[in-house]
Amino acid sequence: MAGCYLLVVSVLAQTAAPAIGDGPGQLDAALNQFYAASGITPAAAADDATFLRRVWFDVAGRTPPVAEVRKFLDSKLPDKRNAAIDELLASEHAANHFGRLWTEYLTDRRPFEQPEYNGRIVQNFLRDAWLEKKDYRQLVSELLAGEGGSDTSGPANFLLRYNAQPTPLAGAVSKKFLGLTMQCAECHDHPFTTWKRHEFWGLAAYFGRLRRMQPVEVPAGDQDQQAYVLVVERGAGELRIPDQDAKPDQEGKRPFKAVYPQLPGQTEAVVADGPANKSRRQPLIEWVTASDNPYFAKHYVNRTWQRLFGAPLVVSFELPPPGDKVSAFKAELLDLLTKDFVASGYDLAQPLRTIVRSQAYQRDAALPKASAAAQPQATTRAPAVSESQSRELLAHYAVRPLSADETFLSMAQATGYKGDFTDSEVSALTREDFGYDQATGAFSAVPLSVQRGLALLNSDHIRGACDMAAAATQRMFGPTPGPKHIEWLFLATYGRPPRAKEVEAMLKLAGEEDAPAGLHDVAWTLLNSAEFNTNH
Amino acid sequence: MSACHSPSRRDFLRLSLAGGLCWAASRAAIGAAADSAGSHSAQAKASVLVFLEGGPSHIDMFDPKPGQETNGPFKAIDTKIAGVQFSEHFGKLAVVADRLTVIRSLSSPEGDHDRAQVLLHTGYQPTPALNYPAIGSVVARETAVDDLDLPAFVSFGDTTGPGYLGQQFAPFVVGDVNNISPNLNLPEGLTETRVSRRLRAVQALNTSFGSRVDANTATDFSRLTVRANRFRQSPAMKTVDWAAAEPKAWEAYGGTNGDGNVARMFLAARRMLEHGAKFIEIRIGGWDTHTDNFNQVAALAGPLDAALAAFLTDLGQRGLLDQTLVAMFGEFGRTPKINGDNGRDHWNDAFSAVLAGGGVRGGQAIGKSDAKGEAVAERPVKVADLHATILSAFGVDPAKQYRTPDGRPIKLTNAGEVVREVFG
Repeated sequence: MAGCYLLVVSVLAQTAAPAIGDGPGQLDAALNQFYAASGITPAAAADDATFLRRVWFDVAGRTPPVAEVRKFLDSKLPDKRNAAIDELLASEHAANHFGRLWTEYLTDRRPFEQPEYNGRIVQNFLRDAWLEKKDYRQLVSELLAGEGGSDTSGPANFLLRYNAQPTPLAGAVSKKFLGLTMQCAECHDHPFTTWKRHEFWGLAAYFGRLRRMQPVEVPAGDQDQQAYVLVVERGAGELRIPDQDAKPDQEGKRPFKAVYPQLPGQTEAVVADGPANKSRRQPLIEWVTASDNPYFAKHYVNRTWQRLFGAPLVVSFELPPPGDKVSAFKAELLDLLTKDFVASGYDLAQPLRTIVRSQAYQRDAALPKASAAAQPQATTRAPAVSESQSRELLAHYAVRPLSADETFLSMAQATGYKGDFTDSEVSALTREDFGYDQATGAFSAVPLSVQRGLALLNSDHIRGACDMAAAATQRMFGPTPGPKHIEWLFLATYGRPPRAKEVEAMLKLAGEEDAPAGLHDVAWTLLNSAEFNTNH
Repeated sequence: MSACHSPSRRDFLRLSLAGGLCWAASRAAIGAAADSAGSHSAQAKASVLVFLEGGPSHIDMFDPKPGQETNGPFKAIDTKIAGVQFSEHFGKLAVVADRLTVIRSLSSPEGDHDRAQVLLHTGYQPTPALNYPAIGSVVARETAVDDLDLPAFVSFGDTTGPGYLGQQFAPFVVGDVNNISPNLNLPEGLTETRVSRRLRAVQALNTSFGSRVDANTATDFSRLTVRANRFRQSPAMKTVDWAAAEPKAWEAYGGTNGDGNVARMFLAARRMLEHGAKFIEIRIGGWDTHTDNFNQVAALAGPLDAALAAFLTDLGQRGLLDQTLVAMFGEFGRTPKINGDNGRDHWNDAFSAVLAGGGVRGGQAIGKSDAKGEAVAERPVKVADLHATILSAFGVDPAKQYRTPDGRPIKLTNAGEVVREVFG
């Protein structure tokens, strides 16, 4: 027992999280109050195995390893769930998962090497930021202030994703960091908001001095040098665009005019330059990340919620609020979580930590049977909140199909299969233990799509994984399939031990073929099932 | 929410539930805001888009300019349409031109390949603010039913995606017509008996999962497994040796001309249409003829001319042409002026599209380019109009609105107007 406490202490000491605050408690209090007022009976708490598998998917993007499942289920510690959360948030797995998801979000593409930039370097930058506990303001400031070579710099590659050009960057900044669609105002005053065309161009002008530079003379055949780009900010020069107010000439062309930096909401452009050596971008960066910017922190929290539950808490910061009770409450939740995030010092992991620590996150997916049966007898009034709304409000957990990466990673985790992932260069850079390209190729198709279904039925990957799983169980527990083989396969794929009936059914299935083939069929069956292919 | 009670919304939910897509549908929160059909009598039930990637040369194909220096070396030949000529390399299509409507007055604002391909596929100029869906995804969204033996939207070659409609309406992309899907075949040595046994075991686990955790998800996955297994067994999804299976058709489709892949795609498309596919895109690349335009166009034309002409005739004989709208275009035309490399460059001020089947009145040309083929001279048609016309063949109102996941109402076409003469 003493040893166990020691273990926890050491884990907590290692992960020494910043002030956690009582975000989870506040979230639960707000939710419980809303449930009570709306007649929602929330689902029961999920059991330990369900909790562990869920939090592994949401934090680490994969199913937990068998050893972790066993350790967690055997542990008698009272606070073992929070300890597991903290350990997981501080792990490389969490950093990799964050790096993957945020690279995809910031670049709208899979984190691959692209002709214009290298997504893997962006990913690496983001994963390191997570591990170094860089705060979110710092992270965004570094991305926007980026300069340097495309061979190493994460920020430079982020800027190169948008060609290091003013217009795409202005669109990206407003959309990716503030959740605003100012891009619409590139061509016309925004139809649904107050954004004006000049405000968009004022924003773009902050990037007006960025330049992409390439080596003048490249040795023939030197691919690396040909691809090398340096991002720099010049000390002078202005963004110039066709003057819409001027009369077009005979060929219909308008003269160009300079546009100067201007923050949204400001009435006049800032013509004067700042102090010498100060980046043109600096005032913009300060405005974006300012503590009184109403969108910056909120948008990150909103995105984190979306990452976990598929939809953001607030659909748009620009459209008028929908006006219904549930939407209004979700906006309150966003405010609550945003305060918690800001109070943590913009800790990247904070929104995720607060949510997964809450009781709300740790509920069953199924509604309590009793309340479901009681519903039709309630003659007094119709339920004010639909089932899908109560799911959005975490009254019961929303089951979701796995992404391509989660599918491939979990298959690899569960069976030891790594595909033909031998790209050591990629692995050295991203420190990932799986090949994206393979996950993309075989499983990129969306959940429940035919391609995914066919890949699960017939692909070389599934066959390889099932072979590995069968061989692994035979190595550990002997050649003849028995309950231990089945138990291990369930722990590896479902993160829980099998029920007695399941052991019986699987042993019967395994018995229809010779030993390796029979175990292969059990693994195939588990990997093709709904329980494996969802986070629940 | 009133949209929940409109027929299209209901149909969509039915499709979603039946198709095992209910999770995706609820997450994407797509709602149709209108449900009126186009005004002319709709008859298309499926569509084939032949997309000529790279920008096919309008003057060297369906809009020749005999006597003009911009015409180049190709002769113009008469077609079944009185007073309308094609280039000499489209002799087989000339013979079946009574089935075709040729639009010669398209123009577009995009001259860059990527941007123009998005425009021609979605009817909207690309913008970072919103991803518009490819027309194939829209048609799949509007027409697909659950009991198909194969995916509703199949594309031979990678194409524009489903945009804000969400991945459930994404194309099933066939990368290589010689291997339609690598995962269609069972691993060697696996018997159907063993597959059935595994599938029964999966269903049993799913049923248990459904009763404990989430019945809808369990049903979705069970249906997916069954569907994927059904697609695996569908003859329409198999890679066929057409030369052996249908030697006459192989010959007629021009299979012996070149590598035969163009013929293979059309034959596979025919088979998929017979099995109920809703939208098939056939992408044929190589039309970006900046250099050596004439030899290249001649080489590309042979297989295309044979395959499309045979395809239309074949569909006609099988009674499928009336319900299948066939459209062919690329992302733009090419410069009337012939450049120093005997090539033609990008030209988006005037180009052509060909339509047939699905209620299209054959035997006519709509619109004109000017004498040199440089600009639209009569009856201008915008890309959005072309999209509106294709959608209206299905009875879909081009002004119908969808909602994006963040709640913005977006019209199916960008103020596109149906080119009524097409249906005469």
